[in-house]
Amino acid sequence: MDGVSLEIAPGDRLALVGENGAGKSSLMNVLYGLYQPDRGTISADGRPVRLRSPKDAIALGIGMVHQHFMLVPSLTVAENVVLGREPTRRGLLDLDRACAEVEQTCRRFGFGLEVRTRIESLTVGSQQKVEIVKALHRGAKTLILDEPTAVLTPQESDELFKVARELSSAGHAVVLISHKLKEVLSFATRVAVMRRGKKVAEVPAEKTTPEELAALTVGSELSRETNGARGPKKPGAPVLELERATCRTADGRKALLEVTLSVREGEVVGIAGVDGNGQQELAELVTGLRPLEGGKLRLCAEEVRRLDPSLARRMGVAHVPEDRLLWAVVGPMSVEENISLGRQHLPPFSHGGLVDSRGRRQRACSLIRDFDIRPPDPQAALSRLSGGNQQKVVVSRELDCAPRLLVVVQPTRGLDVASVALVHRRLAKERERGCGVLLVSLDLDEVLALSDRIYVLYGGRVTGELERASFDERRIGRLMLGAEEATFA
Amino acid sequence: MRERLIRGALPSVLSVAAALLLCFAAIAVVAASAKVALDAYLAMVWGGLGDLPRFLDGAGVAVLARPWGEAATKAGLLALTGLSVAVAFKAGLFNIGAQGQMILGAIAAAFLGAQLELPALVHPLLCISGAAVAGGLYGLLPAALKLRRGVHEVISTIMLNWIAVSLVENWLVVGPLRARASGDLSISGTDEIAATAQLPRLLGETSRLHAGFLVAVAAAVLLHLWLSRTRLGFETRAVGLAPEAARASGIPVHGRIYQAMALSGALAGMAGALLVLGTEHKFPATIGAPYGFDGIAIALIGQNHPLGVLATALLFGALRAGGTRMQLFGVHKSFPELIQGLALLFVAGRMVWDHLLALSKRKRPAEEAPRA
Amino acid sequence: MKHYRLNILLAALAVAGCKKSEPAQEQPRPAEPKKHAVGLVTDVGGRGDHSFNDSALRGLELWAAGVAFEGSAYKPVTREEVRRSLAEDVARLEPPVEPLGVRPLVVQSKAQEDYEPNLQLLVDQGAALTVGVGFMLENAVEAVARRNPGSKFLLIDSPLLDAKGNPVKLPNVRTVVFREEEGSFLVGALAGLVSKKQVGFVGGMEIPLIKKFEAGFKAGVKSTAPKTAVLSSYTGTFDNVAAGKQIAQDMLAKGVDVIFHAAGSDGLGVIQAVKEARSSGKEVYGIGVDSDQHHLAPEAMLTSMIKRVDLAVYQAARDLVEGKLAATDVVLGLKEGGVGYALVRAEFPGKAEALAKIEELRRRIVAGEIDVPSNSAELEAFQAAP
Repeated sequence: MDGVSLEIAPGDRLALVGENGAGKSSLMNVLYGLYQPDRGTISADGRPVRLRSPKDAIALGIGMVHQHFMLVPSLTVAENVVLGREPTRRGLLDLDRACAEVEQTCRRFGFGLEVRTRIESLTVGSQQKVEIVKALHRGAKTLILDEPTAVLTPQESDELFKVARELSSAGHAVVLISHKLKEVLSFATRVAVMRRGKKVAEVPAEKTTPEELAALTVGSELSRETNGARGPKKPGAPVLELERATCRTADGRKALLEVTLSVREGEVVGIAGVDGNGQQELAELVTGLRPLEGGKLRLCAEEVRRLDPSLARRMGVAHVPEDRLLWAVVGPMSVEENISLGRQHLPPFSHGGLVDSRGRRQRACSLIRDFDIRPPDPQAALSRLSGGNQQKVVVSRELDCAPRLLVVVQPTRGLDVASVALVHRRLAKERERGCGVLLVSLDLDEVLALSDRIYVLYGGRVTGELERASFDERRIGRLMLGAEEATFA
Repeated sequence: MRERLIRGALPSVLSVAAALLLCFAAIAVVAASAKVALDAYLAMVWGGLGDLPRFLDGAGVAVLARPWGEAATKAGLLALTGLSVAVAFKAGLFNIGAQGQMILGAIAAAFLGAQLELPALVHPLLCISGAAVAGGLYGLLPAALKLRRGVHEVISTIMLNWIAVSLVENWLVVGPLRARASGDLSISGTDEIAATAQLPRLLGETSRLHAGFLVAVAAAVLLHLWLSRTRLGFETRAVGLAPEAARASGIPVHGRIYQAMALSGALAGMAGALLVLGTEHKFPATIGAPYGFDGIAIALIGQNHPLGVLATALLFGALRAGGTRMQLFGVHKSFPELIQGLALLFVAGRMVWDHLLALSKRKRPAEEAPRA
Repeated sequence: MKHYRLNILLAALAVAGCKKSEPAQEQPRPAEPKKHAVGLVTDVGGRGDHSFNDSALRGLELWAAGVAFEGSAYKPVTREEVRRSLAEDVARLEPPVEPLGVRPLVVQSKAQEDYEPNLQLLVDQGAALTVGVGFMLENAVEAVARRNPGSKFLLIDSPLLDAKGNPVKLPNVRTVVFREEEGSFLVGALAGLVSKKQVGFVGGMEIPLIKKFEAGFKAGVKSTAPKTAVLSSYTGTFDNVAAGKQIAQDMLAKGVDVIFHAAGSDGLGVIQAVKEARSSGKEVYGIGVDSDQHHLAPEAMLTSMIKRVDLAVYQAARDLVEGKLAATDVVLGLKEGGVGYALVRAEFPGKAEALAKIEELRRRIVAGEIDVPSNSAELEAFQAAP
């Protein structure tokens, strides 16, 4: 980040856009006291201040809602909100007062949250609200939202922006960091564009277009590929069939109820649904991470009774999971080691039980080139890569397996425009190659853009199946909310 | 590569240095004399690395060989228990049970050494293997308890240590395996092992240094190669660092954990074998020295890297072998352990520090500014 | 008794042999050539056990060297202070116990496997005589003595034994063992006279050496109070104070009112437990071991079974200085003054008669009229006799 100036006034709705690694988050982290600027100053209300830690930032009324939520799943909403500044009575935590205070904050800002529920039983959208309440509860006047809609349904996003607008008209400043130019333009009054650590433009929202912004962020006329060149649908034999499949969540609730669906060679099947309606479990079920409890599962027409991740991989199933830090990568290991993960026992990654470091290096380098992974160092620890580049490592690795069935969950979450386009192109290529793709995404636009067919999940059931010809965003939205039961074709 | 080595080793080196300084100050304060502390430290150095001043006085090579022979003998034990703890760490388990596994290994070696009649060379190898098997099986218990019943390995290994002491020292050694010769004589422990089972001494009569040291060095090197160059080692590390990601990649997580714990127990068991076959030549009445617990310190200070563990073990082997001489200057006998304990504290303190740093880093979103 | 040659057998040829016969490279460099250095390696119990190791240290440091270890250095003490530290019977000895001007080199062992290097270290540091305190050092003394034929060694509490348990002899090793059963017999007899209910015995490791204490003690109790039951228990260690305390508390709860311990540092726990019971008003006594442990709990100690390790160490040092240290296997019993019991300072009804009875028993043992059992088989025979 280099020589960036930014001014935020009360009631502002500022959006910050830019590619991965353009410096948006660094800028905000400086503002939140996580990083110290090497040069330059921060002023609040005209006075220069030093932000040594988030504590200082909070004291100045700056609140941040991170992309990765900072919540303790086993604690209640109220406990999470007051965490770090708990009201006490005679040295003991005064929970009743905490609840009362948090409820009051919720009411004041119009959040309908039940403060005594545990975080782990909330949807992602609600968890995000808790994060916002947490910031407001600490007296935040300036709210920084880091990619807030990456995990939300259209309805949830709409609601979020409604709340954010209300906050701004009540005098709060809201800073939105986002890749989604459409929502940026509909929400913000001002848009600042970052590229390679510099602020390249700051424009009023009404005077610009998504195309112009896209061009500014990448520095060329590359816009998001939504419905690019795609061949006609020519699906072949089914690679995945579920017949009345049932499974449970980790805590024993029914997650999928008699789900019947199929994915065929050469087609992209999208799963639409509000987060927490079984998509996660569906992906885990077909990749062998979660046991099937009822019904049948067939891979390439072969019935599989006990699928485990290793068997799934042998049968040609590749998986780009949603939570890559948990499921897909080993942070402290190097990029090349992560690329070998899942095929570490096969050439070119190993021979006869010994790691083939040369073969591994070659393959890693070629993937790094193909997917423009930065930094292009196969020995760099994966955790040192930015989120977008980590995702590229995962996607490149899974596609490199030449799978027959590719299960991708939120493949472009947190990726910049160029990377999103790259991933979408590669998915389309897999489809052309004859791979069946099961795409689970909370980004309905993405599902609509890429899928040949869409299943809508609600409450663990398939509430609708739509062919590409009959895609209808509003109708899918209603199916996602369980408001309409579709008739099966 | 070089930079990585320095970055990895530096915190440990600094911790050990800080511990040495602190103890130096403590001795100087207690004795009210910096000279005593200096003399004591010098005695420790000569006692750990060879008595150079006396050698230069013409006292013969034995005064050089004996100290580092003792240092290496201790280092061999510390290295094996350190490796034991480290390999479990690599699979994500905190094995506090090296002591118990070592006791099991020691009694197995003592039994095989005394009961079998085999040619030299074959005999010690068989005893070491037997000790490794005994320790390894004992290491599998906490793994099974964890994977099948969800018992945390820290709890189970602590309890298994006590069970090992009760089983071996309070029953086998005073009961069925008690030295047959003892009768009314004051002989404690088991029968002495056969001469064929004794590990050959490397420096003849000059020092007790025995071939077990080479076993420990070989174990460290092999373990390093296993972890870094083999598929199983790679999978084990993945399991330790990110068990869910490992499972999702099709790695048999349970299998790797069992395997790592068996290996961990086997290494600790081998330490017990070294003690019996190398110096004691029987299972003594009690294995008083807590080498298994020392292994935790050695592993942590060695950053859980097999070669780091070996280096740390060599250092502390020398420190302890030489540290005995500090007693001659009136320094309390526990100072060598105190130095080790403080070094561990500093290393652990750094880990806590790192952990806090990592937490604050995680607060940063996935994006980062291009590095200047 | 035929082993008793301590001051009788003089071997002149051993004089300063170390300096002549040793190969040049092995030759220690004496720091002060006039002063004999005497090394001592404790067992894992170490300094401060108020018992076995401390007794050996007293013999070397206070008596032979005339110094006291305070804080972290030796301080010289006066001849008068040395005299005052002697028990009555030791003070009567001829020639008298007085400082010999030797230089003590003491190393405490932290683990079983350290005995051998520690002994070697002291030899390398120039010790003309090195004392191994405790039977656990037997193997180590043997190995180091073989390796350093020019140095002298004293092994306490065990003869040298080969792997099969047969005694062996080395020309540079003196060994000393004690008839602990005889001293234990006397304190057992006293316990039997004092106890109103039951008496207890707490041992350390369950080994033949400690069994000797138990057998003698039980026989002593039987001799004065045939109906009194003796509870006995072992801690399994010599360095676990808490274990000793726990066992003693157990016994006290069961109604034991006199406890004898032979458990090294574990015994400190036993005495602690007795002391606590005493201050809560119970009429209970402890009996110490090896050294006079009266000072640990002046109210609660009945007496202590004395084992004159200090004297054995001192006499070896004197023989060294006088150039007559011979490689003998010495056995010290009541007759030789090697074991006994400490001055009974506690007051109880019938004390005078009780002490007279004990002295009578002592006389009969010395005269060979009573054969004190030293193991469980002999004990059974003893108890079966009328």
